[in-house]
Amino acid sequence: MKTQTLRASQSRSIPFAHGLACAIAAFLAAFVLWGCATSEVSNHTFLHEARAPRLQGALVEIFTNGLPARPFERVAILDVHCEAQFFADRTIQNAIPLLMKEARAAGCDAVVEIQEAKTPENWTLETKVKHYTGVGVAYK
Amino acid sequence: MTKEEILSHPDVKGHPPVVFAKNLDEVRQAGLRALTFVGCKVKTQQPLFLSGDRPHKFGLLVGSGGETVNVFLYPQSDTETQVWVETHKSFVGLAGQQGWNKQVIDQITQLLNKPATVQ
Repeated sequence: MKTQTLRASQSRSIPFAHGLACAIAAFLAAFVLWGCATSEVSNHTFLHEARAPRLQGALVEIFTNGLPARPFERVAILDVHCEAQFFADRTIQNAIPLLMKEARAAGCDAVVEIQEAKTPENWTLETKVKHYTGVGVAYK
Repeated sequence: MTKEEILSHPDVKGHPPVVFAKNLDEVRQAGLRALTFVGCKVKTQQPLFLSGDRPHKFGLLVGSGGETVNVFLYPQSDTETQVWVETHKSFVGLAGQQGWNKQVIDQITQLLNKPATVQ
């Protein structure tokens, strides 16, 4: 009798477990596809001599308009290229962490003069391209 | 890569260069930015050679990415630089790949024609 009860309980849990497994698999697949559907690459080029990088996590100020009130020196041009499927739009918010990363790598304190560059619409068949540039500056 | 290695490389030998009326450093900097502009993660930065890979992206049909773009530089004089750009496609995701030579050359041209950043 006890065995029958256990079997009945197990048979009820099998569809639930199967459904749960399917849901987890679907979530993971969607996560992987979303991750692979977008890509961002970045780089920096020094305007003059190279500077030592700043520590990871060091504060970098972002000026989306205007310039710092403190005197500064332009150090490097920062480039961020965002490419994503049409359903996954990229914005300046996606580029800012990479602009900060490149600013640190170039030894900069802040990023100014951020612009979105024009890219041809038909570059790739399935993706939308956005390119952002900024100037990394160091305070004097 | 040395100057001799550049000129004897299969991607360069027998291919006409694009000549820019700028010195090597300026063209190299523009080449580096142009690689990022077309979505390449720069892997190699040498005085006469730049190379980058475009990351793979899954798509609804074919996806994209996987190409390697090489930029070869040769100082023709103090004020002129020869440039060759060659895209190599990889086996994985071949259907969604394309050549980036023209786009890189166009971007280098555009960057070199821009006035220098205000100092």
